[in-house]
Amino acid sequence: MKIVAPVSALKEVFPVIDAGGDEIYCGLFSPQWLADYGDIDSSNRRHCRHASIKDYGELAAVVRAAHSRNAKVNLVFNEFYSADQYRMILHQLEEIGRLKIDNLVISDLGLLHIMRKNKNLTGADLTVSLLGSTFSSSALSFYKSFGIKRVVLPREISLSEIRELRDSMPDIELEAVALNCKCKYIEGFCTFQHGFGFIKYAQCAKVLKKMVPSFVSAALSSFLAQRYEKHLSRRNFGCCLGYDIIADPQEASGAADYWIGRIKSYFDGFLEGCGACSLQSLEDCGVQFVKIAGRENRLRDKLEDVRFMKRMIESMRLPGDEFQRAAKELYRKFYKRGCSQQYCYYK
Amino acid sequence: MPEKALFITKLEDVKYLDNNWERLYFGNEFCQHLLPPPEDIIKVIDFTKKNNLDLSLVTPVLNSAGVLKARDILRLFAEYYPGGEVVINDWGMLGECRKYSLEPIVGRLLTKQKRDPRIKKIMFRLAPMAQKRFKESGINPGYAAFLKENNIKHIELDCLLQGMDETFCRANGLCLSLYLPYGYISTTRRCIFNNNGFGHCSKECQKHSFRLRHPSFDNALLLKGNTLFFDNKIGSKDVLMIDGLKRIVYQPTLPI
Repeated sequence: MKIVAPVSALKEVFPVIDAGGDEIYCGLFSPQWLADYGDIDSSNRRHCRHASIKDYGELAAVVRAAHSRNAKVNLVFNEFYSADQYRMILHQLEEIGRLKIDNLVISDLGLLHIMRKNKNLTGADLTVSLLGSTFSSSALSFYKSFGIKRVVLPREISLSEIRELRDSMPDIELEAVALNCKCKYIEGFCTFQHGFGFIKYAQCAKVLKKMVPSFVSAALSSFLAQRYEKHLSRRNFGCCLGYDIIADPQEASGAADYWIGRIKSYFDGFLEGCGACSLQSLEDCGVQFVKIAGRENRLRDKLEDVRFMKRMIESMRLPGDEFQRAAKELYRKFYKRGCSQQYCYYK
Repeated sequence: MPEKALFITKLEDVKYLDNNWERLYFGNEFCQHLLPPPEDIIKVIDFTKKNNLDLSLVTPVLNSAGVLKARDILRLFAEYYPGGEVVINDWGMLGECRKYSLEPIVGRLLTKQKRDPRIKKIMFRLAPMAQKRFKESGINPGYAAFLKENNIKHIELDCLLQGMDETFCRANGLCLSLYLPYGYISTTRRCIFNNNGFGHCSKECQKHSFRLRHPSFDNALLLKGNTLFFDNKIGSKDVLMIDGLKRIVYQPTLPI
């Protein structure tokens, strides 16, 4: 089983691969996109600028670095694009054509359609993103018609459903999310906008720029971005807000209170998902690649995640019960907290 | 004038029908557990034929077991409505519609609009290109080419609080449906009313609905079953001015 690890800057490539990443994935947040759309609407589902590669030059260096360590590079275009954005993305694909990207991870149907017809544009293999929401063999068959090599499974899929996909189409590689970012909603259909926190951040950054010398404000902005952008963004996630909840008038009060409590608990906070103790089951179901989410995380968190997952994969030869115990112990050792059913991706 | 369609998810909601409607939408967009059973499909077909109404079947996102269930009702539908319309919200259903020579139209889960109700409040801060994006759907040249190749001419949209711009869709000859007054925001398989997706579904969701208030939203979000909605009664008059608008799909209740 191979680890697909997140990278958001050139300096992260060697450490992440050396920690155990077999493949890396990253997104490009180009200066042109930033000028046209700002932080509010990302081209790759991550609104923090520091979560993405900044320009073609850095991307080229990332690819060279990864290939020098025999690691494949997956470039994500996992958003849904309007007509204007689509044209910009096509232009990006033309620009990066010579870079020898190994794999393009795509969710936009229009992009899949055009890449099926223009495979030589980049020479890369095609993967359907988890935003493709591939829950059935019918959906997998649909995506297969675009010439895909791999599918990233949606977060909300069960082990039996994965097995059924594998049985229906054994020639398609399966990649499953195994760590971090347990979305409450089906990401492929979720229209909550996660970039709102960055509007406040951008406003603060503007004020800061006026108040202090530019070299200080740039360094301070970068520091604050790393530490607080994730916090700022998650505080504004529509799925994690502290809502006041009212039942419709016809609801009986006892039943209403019970469900209001359940709903409050559902929306309370952000869940860091984990599928580590299901690795043996995932392998049995035919999953060949495990994805670590969190391109926006700090490098040290990414390294911790990769090392944890590497240790888990090395432990997969243990018998089932022992493996489960080892998973819980390792999780506690790495993350200084016990695991919990609410974090589980596949249980 | 656009065609008027009434969208019901349960048989008893035919009570909302009166002489104003030309078409009935029947089915579910968000949950395969709530797909109508074949006997209800037969009753609705009978009702629409007697009342001279057109009928569109509405289907949700499905796993493989759900596709098998959907095949039964597609087969039935095709028997009585050869070439009839099926609203698909899962690309896996495209092939299924073709098997029964039914006409697929692209449901609102697949048209990739930006529906977060907070967008309206921040539009003035955004660059012009970003403002434009938030009014558009995700139908782009590649997507339109795919639809044309597959002879799909009709897409379905929510009425966005921040306004709409479907110039591209009109230019590509697509017909539009607009859903009123409830737009969906997000949907889940981790349904609260079904033990976060791990229980046996007893359709507990049918007994409850809730309003969720937060200062960042001007109006309450509406939660029913596994889906969050927003309410847009405001745009009702303006939407009739949208070129290419073929149909208004009216939901008398939250469509769960």
